[in-house]
Formats: sequence, structure tokens, C-alpha cells
Amino acid sequence: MVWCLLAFGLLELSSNQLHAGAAPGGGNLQVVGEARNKLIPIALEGFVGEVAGVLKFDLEVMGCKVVPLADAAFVVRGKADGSVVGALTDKAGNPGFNRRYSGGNLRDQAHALSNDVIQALTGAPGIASTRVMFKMKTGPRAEEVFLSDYDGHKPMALTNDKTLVSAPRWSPDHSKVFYTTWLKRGGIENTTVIQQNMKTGEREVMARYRGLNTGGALSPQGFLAMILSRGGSPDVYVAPPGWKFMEDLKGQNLRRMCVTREEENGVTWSPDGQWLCFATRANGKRMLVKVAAQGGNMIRIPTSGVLNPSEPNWSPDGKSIAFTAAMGGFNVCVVPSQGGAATVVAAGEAPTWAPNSRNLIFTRRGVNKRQLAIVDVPTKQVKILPAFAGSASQPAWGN
Amino acid sequence: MGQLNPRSLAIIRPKEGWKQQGIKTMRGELYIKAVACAALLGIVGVGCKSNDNAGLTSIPSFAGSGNNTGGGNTNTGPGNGGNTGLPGGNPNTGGNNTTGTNVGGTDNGDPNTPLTIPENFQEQRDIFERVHFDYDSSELRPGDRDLVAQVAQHLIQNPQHMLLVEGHCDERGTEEYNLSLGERRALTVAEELVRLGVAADRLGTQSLGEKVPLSEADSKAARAQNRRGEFVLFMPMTGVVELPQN
Repeated sequence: MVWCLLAFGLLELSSNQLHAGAAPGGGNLQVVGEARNKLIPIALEGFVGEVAGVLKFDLEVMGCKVVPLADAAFVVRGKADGSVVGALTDKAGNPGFNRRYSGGNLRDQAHALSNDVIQALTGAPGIASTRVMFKMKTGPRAEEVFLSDYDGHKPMALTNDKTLVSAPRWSPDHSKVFYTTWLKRGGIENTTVIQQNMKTGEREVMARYRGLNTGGALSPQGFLAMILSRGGSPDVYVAPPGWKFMEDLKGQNLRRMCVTREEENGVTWSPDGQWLCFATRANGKRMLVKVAAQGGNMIRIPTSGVLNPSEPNWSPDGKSIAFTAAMGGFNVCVVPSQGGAATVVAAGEAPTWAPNSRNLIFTRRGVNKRQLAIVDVPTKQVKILPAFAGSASQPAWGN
Repeated sequence: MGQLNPRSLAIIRPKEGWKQQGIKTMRGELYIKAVACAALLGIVGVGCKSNDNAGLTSIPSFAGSGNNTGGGNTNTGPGNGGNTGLPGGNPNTGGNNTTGTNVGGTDNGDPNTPLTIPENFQEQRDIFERVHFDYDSSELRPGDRDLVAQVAQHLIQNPQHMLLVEGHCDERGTEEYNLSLGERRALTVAEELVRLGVAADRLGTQSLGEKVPLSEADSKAARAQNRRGEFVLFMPMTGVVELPQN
């Protein structure tokens, strides 16, 4: 809820409850509730052009199916003449709300209306006013980190380094982002983990040891997990809160969380910061494991039914872990966070959770380009984001 | 870019088989490259300072970068012992996993400091043949051991030279997995160089994951070509040869 309010505050959006017309049904809106795995058939009446497109995309991302009026269980009636007006009723005509939106632009207002529809129908906040970060190829050997609305509109570059980048990730409070850069210094493109302040743009080097430095992921308590190969092989390390790379160039205050010859990758924290999950390999078998934040044994997180898991991402509600299974092609999968039977939810890779712990944004490989897409996990409905100029991948859902 | 020192001409030790003419030509190329390199560095420097793009700021200097022109890593302190005895230890008791050779070295250099290339050094790619890897593997192929031995011999014979081993992958792994796999491949090659007697502080490793494929074709042959290790040699630039005017 907090992120929802914040988003509204930033956009200076507001919605005013209008006096609804006569309510033919005379009763209360029949709500769907939060636990739902069937698409909600909903009709859009009176909207045209961009606003109609935004509403359809948003509602279908969040588990609805936009259908003709005759097939609909709910109806959103409204228009967009200068500002968006929308009224929700159920099929019987029982009123939900009737609001006018102001501030922002028409797209922002349409997103706010979509969120209100989902909130009214399910009791859960929508994610239509959120943003995502991703990397995009901008040249033969150049990639930059981009930020856009969650539906891919208004993309804006966060970096302008004209080099390779990897693994952009948000801090838990979304005030900072972490990514890996190949920026050349000292005559060499040694990988470097960067922290960038989203408000000031200020950047700080978080790790630049010899070899691989990647996978920066911050816990709610301020511990920074990274994949470093300074010990002779890629391994997971954790830096304590307030740790400064420039003051610990020998890394003496880093805690090494595993010692293997394998290719650890994809560090993700449990939302309470008590566990660190990553992908590794043991006895030739690739698997997901977790290690307690204070250190300890690697505990396997079983992902039965699929093979070769990597790129785990722990859901904000703590209940699930999304990951990529590589079995010929790539599949976005979800498993309970304690492990168990994995569910394939879409063809694609590199999933990260939305704040609602229901949607995942991920990468799909096209013929010449990688593209972003969103899946509604319970219904497995996939919406593809419009293509960017360059190949887009490794999305990270923000707030 | 520092002043070129004509006396350093004497240092050059060309690869066997290079003809005298070839060397001269190469020196000329090196000079051109040096100028281009200087221009590039200048651009980078300016770009960082005058970046007026909203929300973008300059990146601070990295450790070990910039002013080290001495031909190696300035940090020659004792190796890092801080890794041992930390909580977390080696939790995998399966017995298959061992800590890799500490490439970057605890004997001769500091494994923490990235390889630093002095400003008067020139990057040479494609001098040595690439090595290749099986799918999803970072094991050195028996047939590639001779290639690595040639590189080791060159480095032993040219003690000033430094080497970056690049690890690359095909696109069949996920991006994050490939980044770690590419590093593992580069480290395997570097470990072999150390085993053959190359000082670890002259070696760096760099993973490019699947980011820089040699071939973008969707074929078995293309993927085999992309699963590779590349040798990037850094050698001192030995000055400018002024040829007679006729």
C-alpha cells in the first residue's frame, strides 16, 4: 500500500469520487477477492485510443481479460476528454466507484484507474503505476541501464557509459540501484559493482577486485551480497552495512558465504533479510541453495520437475522464488520458497517479482532481439511489452 | 600518455618469426594506436567530468587505476588471509568442490587489485590462438593445452608482458549464469598458466558471458566458436621509428 501511495504522491495524481448515476442494480459490487486463478472477464466502454490501450494492457497484466460487454462480469465505463473518468460496475449494474482523475498525463491517469479497478475487485493494490529497470543494448559493445514505466513507456537512460552492463537491481527501499559495469579504468575493463543513488545520481564503486565483480544485492538490514572471483573462483560474499569498498581494498571485512569451484550466480535475499538464495552446482547438478545471512551450510531448495535453475528472485511476500530453468529453451518457473514442485509459468528467463508478489517481468528471446514481457503467475497470462530500439533484458521491477 | 622513451626500443622482443620489416611496420601501428588510445582516454576523461545528462554523474576513480605507470601492480603487500576462518566456511561437504588456485596470486601480487596496465602498454589481441570449451564446461580441452603452453612460454620469455584471459560463452545459458561460467573458464586457463610457471600477478581474468559472440548464427558450429577463451596481451610500447624520407 505504501508504494501505491508513494506513486500517487510522485505523480501528483488524485481521483475524486463523483456522484454515481442511478445504480440500476441497487446492491453492492460483487467482488472477486484476492485469491483468484481465473481471468476476470471485464468490458471497457467509452474509452478510445491510447487510454483504452493502457487500460486493456494494465487490466490484462493484473489477471483480467478484456471482453465484449455481453461476456463481461464487470464493466468500466468512462471517457478521457482532457482527463480520465471511469466508473466500475458489475454485470448487474451494482456500482463500485465513479471517479475523475487529475494530474500527470492521460497514461498516468489511466494507470491509476486500472489500479482502482483491481483494488475494488480484489482488495489488493495494483501495480500499474510502478516502474521497471532493465538493460538495453545500444551498440555493438555497449549497453546501458534504463528506467521506464512498468509497461515500457517513457524509457530513460540511467547510465551513459557506452560499455557493457549487467544485473541491475533495486535496493529494498528503491532509493538506490546496483549494477555491474565494464567501464575501463587503469587500462582494463575489470568488472565493477556500482551503487547509484536514484535521487542524486551519485555513484559509488562497491567492488572492483581482480576478476569478476557482479550480482550486487542489498538486504533490508543493509548487507550487500555480491559474486566475486577474488578468491580464485566465483563465490558469494557479503559486505556489512555501511561498508566502503574504497576503505577496504583488501576486502578483509567481507564475509565469504561459500567456497566452491562452481559458477555461483543470481544472488537474492529473502524479504526479511534472513536468507541468501543463489544458484550453484554440486556433484555436477545445478541447483538453487540458500545460506543463512550470518553464514552456515548451503541448504538445497528443491525445484522438482525442472532442470538447471539459475537467476532466482525471492518474492516480496517471502512465499515464492521465481527462477529460470534451462532445458533446451528457457522457462520462467516459480517454486515455494522452502522448495518443492516447480511450476513453469512462461517461456522466458530472468524473472523478477512485482511488488504485488503476483506478476513477474522477464526476458523473451526473439529472432534478433530480446524483449520484456510480464506474466500474471496464477493465470499464466503473458503480456509482451512494446519493443525498444535495442535488445532489452534483465528487468528488475521497482515501485 | 607519457613521453615515449626511445631507449626502450631495446626492450622489444618480437615473437619468433617476425621479420624486421614487420617489426617496423608494427611499431608504426603501435604509435598510431597510441595516439588513438590517448585521444580515447581524453574523451573518456572529459566525458566523465562534463556529463550534463540529468541524473547521470561521474564515476569516482577506481582503486589501482590512473597513475600507476611502473609496469605492474603497486600493491605488493602480503596476500589476503582474511578469507579463511570466516563464518560460512565451506558449507559444501560433498568433497567435489575445492577452492581454486588463487589466480591473482598471494605470492607475487595482491589478488584484490585488478590488473593495472601502464599507460605506455599496448593491447594486442589475436596474437595467440583461442582455446575452446565444451558446452556448459569450464574444463581445458587436452588439445588446447599446447596453446596455453605457448602463451606461458611467451610470458616467461617476456617478463614485462601482462595477460588478460577473457572467458566467453554461447547463448544457451542464462545471462547471469554465463557471466559466472565465463569467469570460471578464464580462471581455468589462468590456473594452467600459473601451473606452467607464470607469476599470477601478471594475469587478469575477465568474463564477457554471452555478450561478445564471434558469430551470431544459430548453429552448432557458431556456438562452439563462441565458447572460448581469448588471450589479450599487454606489452610495452617501444617508441616511434622514424624511417628515412625516401
